[in-house]
Amino acid sequence: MQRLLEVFERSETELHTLLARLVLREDIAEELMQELFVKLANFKGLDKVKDLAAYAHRTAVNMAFDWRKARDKSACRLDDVPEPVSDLISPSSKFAQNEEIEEVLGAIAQFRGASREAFVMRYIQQQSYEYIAGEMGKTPNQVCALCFKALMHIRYLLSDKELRYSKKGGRDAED
Amino acid sequence: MPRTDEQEILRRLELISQIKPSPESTARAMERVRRVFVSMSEKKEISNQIKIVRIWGSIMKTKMLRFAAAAVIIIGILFGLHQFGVRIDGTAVVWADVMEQIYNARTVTYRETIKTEDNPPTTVEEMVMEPGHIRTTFNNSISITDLALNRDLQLYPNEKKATITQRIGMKQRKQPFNYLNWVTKLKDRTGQFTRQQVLDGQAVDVFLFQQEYEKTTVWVDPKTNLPVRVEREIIPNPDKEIISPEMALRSDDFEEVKEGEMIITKGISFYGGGGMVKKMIMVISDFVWDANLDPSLFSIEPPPDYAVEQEQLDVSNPDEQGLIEVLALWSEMSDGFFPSAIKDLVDPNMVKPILVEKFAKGGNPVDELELAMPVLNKILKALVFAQQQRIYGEWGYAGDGIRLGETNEPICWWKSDDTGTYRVIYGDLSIGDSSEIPQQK
Repeated sequence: MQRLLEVFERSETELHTLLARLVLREDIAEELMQELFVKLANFKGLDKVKDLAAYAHRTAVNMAFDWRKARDKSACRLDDVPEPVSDLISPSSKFAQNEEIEEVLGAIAQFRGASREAFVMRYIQQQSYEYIAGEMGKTPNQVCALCFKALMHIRYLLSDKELRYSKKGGRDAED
Repeated sequence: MPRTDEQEILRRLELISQIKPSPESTARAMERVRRVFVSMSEKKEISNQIKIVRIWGSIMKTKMLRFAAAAVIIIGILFGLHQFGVRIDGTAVVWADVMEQIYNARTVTYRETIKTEDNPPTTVEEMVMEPGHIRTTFNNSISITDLALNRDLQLYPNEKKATITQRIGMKQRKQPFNYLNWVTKLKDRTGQFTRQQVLDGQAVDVFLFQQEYEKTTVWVDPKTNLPVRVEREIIPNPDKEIISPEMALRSDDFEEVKEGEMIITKGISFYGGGGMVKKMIMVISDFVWDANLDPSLFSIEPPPDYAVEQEQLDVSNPDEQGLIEVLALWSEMSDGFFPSAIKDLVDPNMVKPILVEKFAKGGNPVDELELAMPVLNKILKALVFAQQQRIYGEWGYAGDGIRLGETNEPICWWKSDDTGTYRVIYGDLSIGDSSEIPQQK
């Protein structure tokens, strides 16, 4: 428990910000933050986890993308439409930009493991390759390769979607 | 929609990376996690951690100085409510409810009386407004603290003077510091419901929390689940070598002060845990929870018609480098000799002459006092560091009779519990490691 408290003390805002970026909803980020620590506190193997902060980070990322997948599977209600969580997104471009980043996040949700972990740290959290390498126990070159692979995968997913979109004549047709 | 090439994806990722949740949302998320810790504390014991709480206070007095030392201590003790924590046993659910109520409170006012061996009881009035604003009234002076900004404002209405103190050397919190948020700082302490009692005509539940150097009794109103009275007894370490790191300096220590002129007294006191404190009892009573307090009471802007002084106080953790600096200073001011015992660092008969010699240059006594205070702070912190090693690991001191430059002579050494080697400071103030207790030549 003490270690968990330390993780909370050290990474509280980082984890919450990360969750907010991945789910794009403040209320969900708050909920997931709570769930994250419930999950960690109840994890019986917690004492065996060497780097608890990194473990908490991974768990947070997985939970956020799991939430996205679950949401995408469920029927979309009006009040489920994501609200932008940043003032940096101007009201005029809110909707378009929201769609754009939703697409990217949806694509990231399609893969798991080290690639996603590295990619999120690099591009969502803006960490350096060296830092990520240290966190993941890899070399910067390996991290770079993982990120590149992920980027290509996202590009493929989005291009494929665009292709289907254009073939079916627009979003309504696709939906 | 733009074509999703790499640049377009990176642009979108850049957008995501700039998103930040609102501070209100982050505060809500933190609160939810803290509730997790509260509920988890019902099940698990939380291990203790060495926690140093730094205490500082300054008061200004006329020649009536008998309360001066007490005031220094009091200002420190004001942090008492924040510090006590509990481990929950059989009464977990009930106490967890109390903790939750405390955590939910946005304001509280109370009266705190401090009794020490050396001084008459002293009472202060305190107001707390979350996040992290504290206002203390004591003896015609007002202290306002903003924990998030690490800044204190001391007001002396009779003299229309104000002192702003910026505490430096501590990590700036990204979130507002909640004074009452000690729920997340739960420590390894046993707590138990002891009895029900009638207090001032009111039925209350009594909880007792006891650990090595501290005993806290909390009387709780079962209707509100909020404390109505707290008594906290601080017990000194039985090791007589562990002493309370505190000292006060007066402006007339440095230069003669003419009759009718103000004498300024400033003091520094550390509460380093492990019984590193004098025996004292604090009684906190007259709680008013969630009172409607005017936020302007907590403004750290001094009134416009006040004379304002600005100062800084280094509250960084004591460390070996600080100890080396103090040993260097001591030897510089003592013909090259190191302290004969480490507790000389808190002996005013030894420390004051050193500071006076260094800073009394025939100038303004208050200015000289101001210059001396940061050095006193360093000296006391070095003592805290040494005592921490003694309390939580091993510590040895052999500086008596050794002069600066005696390269191979160990001055002091220490070993933490979790390391196999001793850190050693030698007579030339170099530092090294040793697998065994160093022997003097």
